Amino acid sequence: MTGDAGRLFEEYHDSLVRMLWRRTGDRDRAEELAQETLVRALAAEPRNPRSWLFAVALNLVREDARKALRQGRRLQLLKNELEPLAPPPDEVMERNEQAARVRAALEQLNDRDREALLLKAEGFNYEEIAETLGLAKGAIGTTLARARRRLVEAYHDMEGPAKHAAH
Amino acid sequence: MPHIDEGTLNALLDGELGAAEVLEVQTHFATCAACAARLDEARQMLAETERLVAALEPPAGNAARAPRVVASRPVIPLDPVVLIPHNPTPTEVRRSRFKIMAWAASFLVIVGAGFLGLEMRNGLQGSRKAGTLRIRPEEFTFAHDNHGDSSTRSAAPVSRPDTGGAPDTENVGRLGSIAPTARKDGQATGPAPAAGTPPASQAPASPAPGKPAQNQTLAQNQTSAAQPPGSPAPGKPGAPPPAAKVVAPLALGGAAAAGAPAAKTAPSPAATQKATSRTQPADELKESVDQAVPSRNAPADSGAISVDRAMADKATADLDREQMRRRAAAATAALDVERKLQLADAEEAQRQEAARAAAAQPATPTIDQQARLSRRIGLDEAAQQLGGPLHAIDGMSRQLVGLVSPQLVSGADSTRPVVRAVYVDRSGRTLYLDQQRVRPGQLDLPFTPQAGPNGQLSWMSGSVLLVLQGDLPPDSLRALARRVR
Repeated sequence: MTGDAGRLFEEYHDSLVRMLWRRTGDRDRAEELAQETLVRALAAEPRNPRSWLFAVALNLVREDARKALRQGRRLQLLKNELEPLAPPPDEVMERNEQAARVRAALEQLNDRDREALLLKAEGFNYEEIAETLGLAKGAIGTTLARARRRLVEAYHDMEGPAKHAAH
Repeated sequence: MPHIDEGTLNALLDGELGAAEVLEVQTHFATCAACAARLDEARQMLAETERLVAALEPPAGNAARAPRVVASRPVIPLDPVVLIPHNPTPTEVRRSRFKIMAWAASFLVIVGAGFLGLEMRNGLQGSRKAGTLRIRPEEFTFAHDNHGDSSTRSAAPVSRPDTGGAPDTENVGRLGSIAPTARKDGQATGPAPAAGTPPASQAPASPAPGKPAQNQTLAQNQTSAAQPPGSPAPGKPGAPPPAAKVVAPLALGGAAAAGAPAAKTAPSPAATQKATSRTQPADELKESVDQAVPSRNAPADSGAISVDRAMADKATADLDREQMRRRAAAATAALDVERKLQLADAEEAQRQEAARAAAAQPATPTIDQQARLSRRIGLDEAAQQLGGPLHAIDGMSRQLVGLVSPQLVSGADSTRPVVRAVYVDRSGRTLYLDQQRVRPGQLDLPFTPQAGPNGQLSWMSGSVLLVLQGDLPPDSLRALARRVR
């Protein structure tokens, strides 16, 4: 059991945290959700750990998002993200602003498109994405195509006003 | 074939299509420009998405906890053609096999040639070991011997003219490194022969123990190459025989140990010739360097190099002049600043000195101070104080009018101020005509001047007390008192 836990942690922890961080924008929350996902995996002993882990992690994120929405914590997270305590240097600030815009654009996608994108960014192939999200493999290409187009369009829509505001 | 849908395009870019599907869409791309354009658009969209998602990377502080894992993502082909699986035709298979065979044959040829070369080398070495030690005078000659006279280029210890023919120890070490085996043999020959002495006759005289065969062979070689003792080389009078060239470096160790007294005490013509010959390669080398690198005085055939060098010299000179000018300007400016500072210091010192001198000198009392006035007043105020016009001395100019303390005036009312009119006569003596309004019956004074205890004259004029005092004799004061109006 300890060996399984160590192997799971070593193999999937970083990837889970990264995907969860991209999904939530909250580093600490991503760590917590990854830990919780791995703990559940130890109890469930899934046959295909990778797909199972990411599916559970995404479910936890959705559940966490619903709770946060009810408690208003989500707004607080966004506020904390957009208004850091100490003003960072220009480069860091610009990067943070871009990340905030990308995350906001990502939020405009539906869950399926967003998760398909994030799983693809983690190196999942179509079959794994389909297994994780419970979709048909033949639909993944269309899902990703739509997700990519919507993300780019949403980001450009946000970037335009931001540029105008900057000027 | 209908147009390719977006999902298939993305699957193609993500490497998710099978070989048959890839071939099918590639075929379609060849005939459908619209789909090819949509493929480019999808590729751009994919790249943009990757860029945006990459912007969501955890910050640097988090990167340590969650290092980026290079995902096993399929390679996104830049050109869809590379996705088509390649099934080689029989012709291509034959060509491929031929290429492999050609490479194998080339490899075998190279290995065989190398092996053959090694065999030949080993055979030569074996013959050397089993046969004679092939050391020839040419092996010690310099490579740039253009004169064909190896005697003047020998590796023998050269004798410098200033050292009186002593062996050049620097060259000894160098030559020793060139031919270590030969030096061993040379050491075995004993002390170095005196310059000019044919060493061939001495070389075999004391062979090194344990190496008789080699020394013997060496001696034979030397003997065969040597000229008869005392007979200079043809065309080179005074040059040492070739045998001397060879043996001399070999005997360096012994020569150095023995100090080569003969060479030190009496440099022979042969040694002198060696010394001369030593400088010759240096001259040639210098000439070659001069030819290769044109000097500043090179003739005009150097062309652009000379022009460039002249321009560089001029630029350098200009730069030097500019630097000198700047240094001079900076020094002048510094000097000016220093001079200004010195002048300012001097002025300040003068001011301080003047202030000290002024403080040291007793201040000359002004006429107000002399008159001890509390303040000056005008005639109107004086008339108000006195209840009538100010009295004056007829025929004298009044200097000023002011108020003084009644304590200074003998007999005055101490509760009321005294108006003092100040006069200066022609001799510069100061007179004071003090006046004070008194109440009727307050003072019992006559209306004619009466002398007081300090020589002053006092009298009443109406309700005004008049007191005349000054550094004048009493008669003069009385005369002036009579002129008070």
